[in-house]
Parts: sequence; C-alpha cells; structure tokens
Amino acid sequence: MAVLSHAVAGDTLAIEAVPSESTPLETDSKGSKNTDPCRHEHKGHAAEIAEEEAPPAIDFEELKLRLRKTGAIGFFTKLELKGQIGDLFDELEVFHERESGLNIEQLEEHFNLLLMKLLVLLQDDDTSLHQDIVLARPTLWITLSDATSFYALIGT
Amino acid sequence: MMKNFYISALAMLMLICAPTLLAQEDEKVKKDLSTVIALQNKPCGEVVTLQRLGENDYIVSCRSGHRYRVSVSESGRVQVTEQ
Repeated sequence: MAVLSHAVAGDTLAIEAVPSESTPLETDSKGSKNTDPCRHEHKGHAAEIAEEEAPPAIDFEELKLRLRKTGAIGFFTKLELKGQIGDLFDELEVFHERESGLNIEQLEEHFNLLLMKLLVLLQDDDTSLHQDIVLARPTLWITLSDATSFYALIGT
Repeated sequence: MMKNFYISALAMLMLICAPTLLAQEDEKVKKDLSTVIALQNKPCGEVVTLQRLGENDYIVSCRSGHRYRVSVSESGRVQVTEQ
C-alpha cells in the first residue's frame, strides 16, 4: 500500500510512499490485532473481497509534486494547509500512541474536512489534480487510520 | 535603424503591459490572502486592499471592514492577527 506524500509551500512533511504489510482487515481501527476466532475463519474470504474492492493504485509521489507545483493554490494557502495537515498528524499520533484524545470518527471528520478544503481550492483551476486526489482519498485514510502504516508513513 | 525601432517597440510594450501584469499579480495575492483568512475561520469576505510590509507580510482590509496582518511565523505557520 502506498501512502500520500505531502509537501506544500516548498517544504516537506515527509509523507513518503511506503510499503505496508498489513491490510485493513488484519487490524482494527485503532491498530490492535484482531483476536476474534470467528473473524479468522472468514478472513480469507474477507481478504478476497477487500482485494476486489481495493481502490486503484495511486502514484502518491506524483500527487505530492503536483500539489507542490499547482498554481491553483497560493503560497499562504499552501502554508496554512500544510500546518493544518501537520496538526491532523499530531492528533493521529496521539490517537495511535495512547488511544486517547480524539476518537477515530472525529479524526476521520477532521481528515474529510481538510480534504474538502483542498478539493474546493483545486476544483476550478486544477481539475485533473482534484480528480486524482478524490480517487486517492480512500487509500489515504486507510493508511492514516492504521497504526502500522501510519508509523511507517511518519518514519518511526 | 530597425534595431532601434524594435527596442523602442519593446519598451513601449513593457510600459503598456507592466501595470496590467502587476494588477494581475495583486489580484492573485488578494485571493490567496482571502483564502488563508477564511481557512483560519476569521471573518473577511474578500480582501479589498493590501499593503506589503515585507516578504510574506501584509496588512489587508476586508470587505467586511476587518483589518488583519497576515505573516509567516518563525515556525513556518501563517499568522492572521486582527489589527
């Protein structure tokens, strides 16, 4: 699974394309291992379904570069969005580390709101990037909400 | 002779186009500043005038009547401070 690499305003927040061995079905939303034996019995079938329904592969490195270079978003706006994405990452780190602070639904709401702001800014002046980010959204959230892939993403 | 003509024509063109290009750049900055103020949930509407204080440092007046200073902090965050 690849992870969106985020970089705006000429700076990098180090979201790199990283491999992740776990699937969303192997861990729950808080990243803990699933110990339910009933679910293990159906895991093979569920994994097959997940593979069939998996979002298309996205070149996140390319998206990062396009976000950095797009003329649809001004300097101050890129910098502000970078800060807000950094705040979301801090909240996600608190969630994955201590399982306190905001819950996963609240974090997903923050993520969706932030993405919506970004998409609104792109929709008129960079429709191609807008469309590609819409396609990348499910994969990105799966990565952020899974502890293993999140830590791989931030490099710890 | 022709060379002088081309130089004069180029200079004239620059004189005519420069204000337009500057105005376009100004509008881009206004739009950017309007967006960043909105992203910080501060009332503005749109930026109507701006005064550049330095690199990435502006005083802006909004249609709503609010005035803000928009700058970048040492930590790299955008600061919007009401004046």
